[in-house]
Parts: sequence; C-alpha cells; structure tokens
Amino acid sequence: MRRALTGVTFDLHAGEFVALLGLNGAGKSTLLETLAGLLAGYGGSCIVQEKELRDYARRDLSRQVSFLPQWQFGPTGFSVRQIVAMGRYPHSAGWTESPEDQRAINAALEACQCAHVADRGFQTLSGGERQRALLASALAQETKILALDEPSAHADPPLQASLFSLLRDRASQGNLCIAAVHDINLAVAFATRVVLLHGGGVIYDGKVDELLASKAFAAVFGPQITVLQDTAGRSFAAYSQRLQA
Amino acid sequence: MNLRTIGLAIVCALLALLLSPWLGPEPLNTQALLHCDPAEWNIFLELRVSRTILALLAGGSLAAAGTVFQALLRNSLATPYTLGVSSGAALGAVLAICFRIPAISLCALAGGLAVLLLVLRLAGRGAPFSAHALILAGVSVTSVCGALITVLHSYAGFSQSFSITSWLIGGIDALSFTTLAWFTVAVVPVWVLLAWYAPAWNLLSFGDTWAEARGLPVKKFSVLGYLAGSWLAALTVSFTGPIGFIGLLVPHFVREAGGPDHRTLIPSATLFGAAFLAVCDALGRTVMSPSDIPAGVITAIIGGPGLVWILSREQKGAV
Repeated sequence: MRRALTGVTFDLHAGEFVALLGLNGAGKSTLLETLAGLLAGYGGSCIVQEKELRDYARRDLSRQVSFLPQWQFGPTGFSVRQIVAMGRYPHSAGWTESPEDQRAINAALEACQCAHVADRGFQTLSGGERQRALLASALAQETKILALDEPSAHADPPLQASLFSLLRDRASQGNLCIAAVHDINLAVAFATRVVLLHGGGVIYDGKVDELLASKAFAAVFGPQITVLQDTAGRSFAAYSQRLQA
Repeated sequence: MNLRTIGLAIVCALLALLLSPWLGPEPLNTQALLHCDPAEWNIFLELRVSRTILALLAGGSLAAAGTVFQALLRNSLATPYTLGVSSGAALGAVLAICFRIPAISLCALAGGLAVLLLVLRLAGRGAPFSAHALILAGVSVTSVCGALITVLHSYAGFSQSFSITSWLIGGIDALSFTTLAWFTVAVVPVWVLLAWYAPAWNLLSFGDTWAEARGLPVKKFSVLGYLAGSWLAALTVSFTGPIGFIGLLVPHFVREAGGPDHRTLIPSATLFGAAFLAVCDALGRTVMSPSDIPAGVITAIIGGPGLVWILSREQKGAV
C-alpha cells in the first residue's frame, strides 16, 4: 500500500478557515478523510477535541466532524430536502425528524441558498445546485469542524464566492473549516490559513498573504503559474501561458 | 415519508388476504361453509387460506429482500438472488431430490445459507464487502451452482427430473399451519428489523463514504442487510422454489409511486410484494382451471413486460 502522506504535523483551531492546496494526488483528500475518521489505518496520532480519533464511536465523531466527499454519486431519486435531512442522522433517534432536526435542515437549506429547490429531485439539479445541496447536508450536521473536499466543485464563479464567503462566516462564528481547494485565488481571497501539500508532506503552512511570494508556492506551481499584482497591490495567480501570448 | 403509499399497500395486502382464498379452480360453496360443513371448511382453510398465507409471506419477504439489496448494492437490477442464495437453495433442493432425502426444504435452506457464507467469505477479501466484489462473487457462485444442477439433472431419473423441473419453476403449495407459524416467526421480525433501520438504508443507497461520514457504521449495517435479506430469500426459496421478478419489480414499482425513502419503501414494498404474489397465485389456479399454473410463471409473465415498462418510463424521465 502506498503512503499518501508522511510526517504531517499541525494543529487546527476553532475560528480558522484552512485551505488545503496541492497538486492532484498530493494527499488533500487523504488528509480530510483521515480527519473525518474514514481512514482508520493512519499511523501516529490524530486528536479531535482532546480525544484520539480512533477512540470515537462512529456516530459520536460525526457529531464533531462533518465531511463533504468529492463528487461520486450515482443516480438517485431523493429530493434535496431528503439529502439535507441525511445530515441529521448522527443526532436523530430513529424514523422521524424532531423539531430541532427540522430547524437545522431549514437553516442549512437557507444558508446554501437551496430552499427554493428543496422539494425538487437531486437528479434534476445542475452541478452547482447539487454541490450546494450536498454542502447543506454537511451544514445540517451542525458540527464544530467542517472537512470539505472541493466544496466549490461544479460551481460558477459567483457561486464559488458565495459558498466560500459562507464558509468564512462559519469559521468566524467559532467553527473550524478545512477545505481542499484547487482555485488558488479563491483560497487566497477567503481562507485565513493555507496548508500546501507536496511530495507526501506539508511544505507550506502559514498566512495566506505570504503564500504567493513563498518559495514553496513557486516550487509546486511554477512555471505554469505566475504571481501578479493588481492596481491595489494585491497579489493573484495567473496562468503563465496567457501572459506569454 | 409517504403515508399514502404505505396506506395503499396495507389496503392491497388486506384485500389479497381476504379475497384470494375465495379464488380457485372450483368456487367455494358458501352455504356449506355457513353450515360448518367440515369438508368445505377443510378445503377453505387447509388449501386456500394456507396457500394465501404462504404467498403473502413469500411475496413480502422477496420484495423486502430485493429492496434492501438494491440499496446496499446501489444497483436497481439487484434482486434477492444476486448473491447466489437462490441457486444455492436450488442446488440443495436438487441434491435432496436426487439422493431421495425427504427434507427438501431444509436442504434448500442449508444450500442457500451455505452459498451466502461462501459469497461473503469470497467478497470479504481485499476491499471488504464492496458492491462490485459481492456481485462478482454472487455471479460466480451462481454459475457453478447452475452447472452442478445441470449435471445432477442430466443424471436424474424420469420422476426425479420432473420433481427438479417443478421445484425450479417455483410455486405456492399448501403448507400446514404449524409450518406457516414457524415461517411467520422467522420472517416477520426480519421485516420489522429492515423497516426499523430504513434511515440507514437511505444513507447506504447514496454511498458508503457518505453514510460513514454521517455516522453510520457501514460495514456492520452492510453485513446486517445482506444477512437479513439473504435469510428472507433463502427461507422463502426453500418453501416455494425460486420465484422470480418480485424482488426486482416490486421495489421499482413502489419507488416510482412513493419515492426512494426507505421509510416508505420497505414497508410498502413488503406489503405490495405480499399482495402481488397472492394475486399471481390466485390467477395461476383460476385462469386455466383445472390446470394450476405455478405462481413463478405468472410473476414472470407479468414481471417481464412490467419491468420493461417501468424502465422505459425512467429513461424518458416521465416520472
């Protein structure tokens, strides 16, 4: 079995919105799945709320960490509301939804701007709408930690900004959001901290503002990506090929 | 949860229970029944009611098992027989017929459960209980069982060959009320268990990672679902032979009518499946009276075109 990550050590804190950056296969999904308790075979230690991850019962961990997996869903006849309601499974006692469940479901639908499609079939939605519904399900879980694998996949730029703004708000309310992101500018614009994975380890862990100027960034993304500055002096990443043309 | 669909299913099952015993090759003499004629009551209870109860229990069990298998395997073409339980039961029954062992049903049950354990063992290696591994193991074991049945069939004598063919078609026969009581005790609690865990099947039908991340112990519930579904299928097949299409068609039909929520799907499919098989059995003993067409033939005649119709509706997005 291949090791995806080795010697990865860092602390995550409430109030942070951490963007996990890295090339395909860098270990972003592995790290998030480990944090969500889906990969029990990790070495070393992973402590969530002062308790080792392995020691959590499955349902107890899902009350602490909600996880949005990468897009991998086949055909389904469920409505958006039914999918969002699945997020209440760690809290619910059985068949019926309590008033507390209903409140959490409605709040998550509102937060992800999908209340208007709540009764529509998930299958009938566009890619961006589906992603919002899946994120709403993760929010309905009402955990302090949100681990999200490409939460803005399939979303158009305004929706991406809206979703990341929502996640930043969640972080500012005392939650921890950690998300695998491929759009560097999106990470720079909204995250409060960046962790850059490369070669099976962490090669940058720090402030967003300093990421684009770091050697680690250049080592991973150069020479395809060039860092430019806008008129206000803010750095952003651009494709080098377009500049050369 | 769609209470209207569940209510409709209850009504259908009750109607099947109340009306099916009155249908048969010869009309019952109601005057004789009212005057407590022992011979007429014997026909009514020992042949008609007993047969109706077996059809209800068998149909409900096959439909409930099919629903859970389709959720666990995330494959709308999965049936209670996908894991090879039916072919194992058939092999057990054919062995019993060939070697003149009188307890055919017990041999069929043993064959079905042995195959289930073999499939779980084969699929448990590597990535444990992945849908792909289970289907592959089930298909492989089914092929081997089918080949062994063909070999046994070809060496069987005339009367044994007739018995094997009759058993493999699948049908409903009258059983003693004691046997029916044992059958009821063995399957109805499993129906309740499957319905109770409906929220878990909802999560699993959407994906293993999704379910695990929402707090469901996926491996535990997958094994529970496979064991419960296979138990229902093996037990049913041991009494009726392999009756096709109910475990495939009924969950599809109910999903189209009442949605994919297993809180609706499990109880409704169980009750509709029960009613469907009771009606098929009643049709089988009346449409070409005095010949008795096996219920398995009727379910196939209705089920084949019915499934094509449902799939064509799904493809057109008409629902």
